[in-house]
Amino acid sequence: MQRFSILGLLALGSIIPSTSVAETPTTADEIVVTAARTAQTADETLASVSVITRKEIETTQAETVVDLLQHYAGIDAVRTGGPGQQTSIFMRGTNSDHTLVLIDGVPVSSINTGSYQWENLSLNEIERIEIVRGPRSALYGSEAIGGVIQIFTRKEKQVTTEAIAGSFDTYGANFSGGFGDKTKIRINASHKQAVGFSAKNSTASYDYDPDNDGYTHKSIGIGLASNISDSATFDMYAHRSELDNEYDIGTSNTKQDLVTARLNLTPSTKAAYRISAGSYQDVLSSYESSSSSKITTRRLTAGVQTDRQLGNNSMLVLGLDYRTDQGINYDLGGSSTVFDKKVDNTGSFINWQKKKSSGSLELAARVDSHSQFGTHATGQAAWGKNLANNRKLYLSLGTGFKAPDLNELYHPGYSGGSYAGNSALQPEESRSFEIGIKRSEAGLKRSIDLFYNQIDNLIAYEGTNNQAINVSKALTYGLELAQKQQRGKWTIDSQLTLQRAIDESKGTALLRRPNEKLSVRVIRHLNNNSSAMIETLLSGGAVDYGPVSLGSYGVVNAAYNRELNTKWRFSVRLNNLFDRKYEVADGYNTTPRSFLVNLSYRPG
Amino acid sequence: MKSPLLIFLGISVATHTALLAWHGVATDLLSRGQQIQVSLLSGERQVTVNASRHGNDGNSGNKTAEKETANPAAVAQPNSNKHDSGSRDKDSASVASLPQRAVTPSSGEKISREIHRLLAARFTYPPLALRQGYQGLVLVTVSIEPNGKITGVTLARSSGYRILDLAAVESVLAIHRAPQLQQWLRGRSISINVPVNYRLIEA
Repeated sequence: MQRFSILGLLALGSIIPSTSVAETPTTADEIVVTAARTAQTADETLASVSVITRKEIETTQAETVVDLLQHYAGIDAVRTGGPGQQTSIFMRGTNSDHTLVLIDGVPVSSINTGSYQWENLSLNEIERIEIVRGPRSALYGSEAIGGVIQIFTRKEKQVTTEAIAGSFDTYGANFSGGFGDKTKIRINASHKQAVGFSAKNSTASYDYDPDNDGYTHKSIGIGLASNISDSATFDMYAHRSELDNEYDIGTSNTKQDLVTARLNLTPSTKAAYRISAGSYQDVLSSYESSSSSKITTRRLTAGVQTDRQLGNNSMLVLGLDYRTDQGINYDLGGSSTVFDKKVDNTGSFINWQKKKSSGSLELAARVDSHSQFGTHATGQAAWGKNLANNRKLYLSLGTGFKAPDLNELYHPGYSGGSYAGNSALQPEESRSFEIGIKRSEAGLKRSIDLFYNQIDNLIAYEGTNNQAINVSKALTYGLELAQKQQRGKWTIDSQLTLQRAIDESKGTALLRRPNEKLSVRVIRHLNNNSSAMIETLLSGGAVDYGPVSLGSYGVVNAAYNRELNTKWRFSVRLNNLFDRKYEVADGYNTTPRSFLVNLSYRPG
Repeated sequence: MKSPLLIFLGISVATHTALLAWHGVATDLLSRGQQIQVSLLSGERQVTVNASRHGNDGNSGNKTAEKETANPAAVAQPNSNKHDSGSRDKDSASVASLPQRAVTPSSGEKISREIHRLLAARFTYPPLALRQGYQGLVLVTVSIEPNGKITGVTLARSSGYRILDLAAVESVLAIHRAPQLQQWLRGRSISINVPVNYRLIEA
């Protein structure tokens, strides 16, 4: 009996706590709350979004941005020759000046031509590219008709150096490094040059010169990022790049300068504020025997934006942005200014989003006030529904616009004033509709989208004496199918585009945009963070000026990326494995069979 | 020029189908979309609770290697994950019905597990922090009265971002009371530190 009681007491004792009130706090087990990183440019559930990461740039060993973008559905990349030559990007069959390009939030298209010089972008400087298809003028204003491509500059946490060599006497060196903790400094620098290959080929109907057309491309960027306090972060980046390029009838030099500064305030879980400012300048000097010109864009941008969390599942965004652009067209031969003009634009926008477990809704509206054409309003509405089996359905309607560029407005024209600009031009306008289904689960991401764009008031040089007028119309529509599958050590990423891009006023196909494109990329992950990749790009034919038919083609590229040890990595890229001769622009060469090797060193 | 294109398409589709017919282990390197995963870490024992409809295997969506042991006594988790092995699928009622042993887990541990159970469903990644890409570890101190009422939540250590700190504090405050804790508190008030780690995974 006694033993039992003692045991009983002991048992009791083991469950009575040894301390009573206010014991020192124990630390509980850690709770981890995770979320997948979302795109910043747009809500991925209500739009067709593709994100290109630094990892993809390394796995594919892409040499230029064309190599990266060409893989994706809804994008056509056309370059008149090798790296360094003039590059145009067409999204969903729309014009090359209907894609808004932002670098760290600053628009970088030329105010004179309306397009961005993609050839001046060094891949070394890129952390991430977000491609958002479809109109987004209701948030970003002018140019966001076919889509938005937002580039985020590289933010390495350690130091990486690379040495590159390859065909056509290509040599290059890259540096990217980050230093510091609370205040981080980052530097991205690259140098690349090549003897190159001739931009035009012998089938060209004019201006063919068989000599090689080389380039030298230099780029440097310095950034500063600081956590000023627990509710304020500051980020600043200054970048300059310079491209010297040869082409068949001349040479060109492009200097591009970009400065951005952003202050983000997040004082609570309910509201966030951003103040941003930027400056962009690009100067394109072209030297040809018949004419030489210097074309300058100078831009200043400033904006404020507030994001407010309303209740549990709504977000309201309000913003104001201002930009002023100066465009100068200077004739170097005659030492005279062709035009020197300024335009400015103020935009105010509102965006409301509601997200529930069943689906989401987004409404956006923006009003732009432009010094040349006055006021223009755009809007967007998107609705999404979550279906069974990890699928999401979405529908989106939106309007977009493109402000006339300075060549279209103010160019005095040529002999007799023909092909002159028109200061009374109105913006080009678009109406778009899209419907899509996405599926996203472990190891599989699939999407299908149907899009339709009607573009009116397109500017064409068809007025009296070929003056620029808002007379044309375009229609683009199509289907995009994308699938990225992960199985064991394999990744298969396929992107299919079937589209029609039509000049409605003439009833002809729009130039240089093929009706079919299929890109399949297969990656085999190897041990030690290494990989091998092979990609096949199949393209249907297109139409070029003339009209001339460009034939359909298939190109195969491969890359091998191998980690030698923790500090050294070796990679090789093989372009056009089967040395296929094909054209994306009439009379211009594309990259022949060639290689590029890359040796990288990470001391950290 | 159509037929070469068709041939290429045919070869491409055939190779694609052949590769897809493999039954490899599906590596979870791709995102599960915007679902939020709450992981309960218990020393070396880590079990993932998938708060979304994407519950599949018990592996975490995180890239960090996580170990699981089959100690039924130590782990409590909600039943949303259907693929758990039977030995891990215990709720607090099962824990309570375990036979008394010479050395029982302390009440402090039981309370911390109960708090996990409560908090697991309440934490979400603040959308405004997600947009900015903020991540961090917040340490909050929770004071609980004997009747299970949560009387105070204070910030013990900041993550470096006020928005994450506030989100952690607000999530705990939203619970108000946890009457289930009464049986473990047995008339005591308690103060417990809860680390909350907000982490972003690459999609």
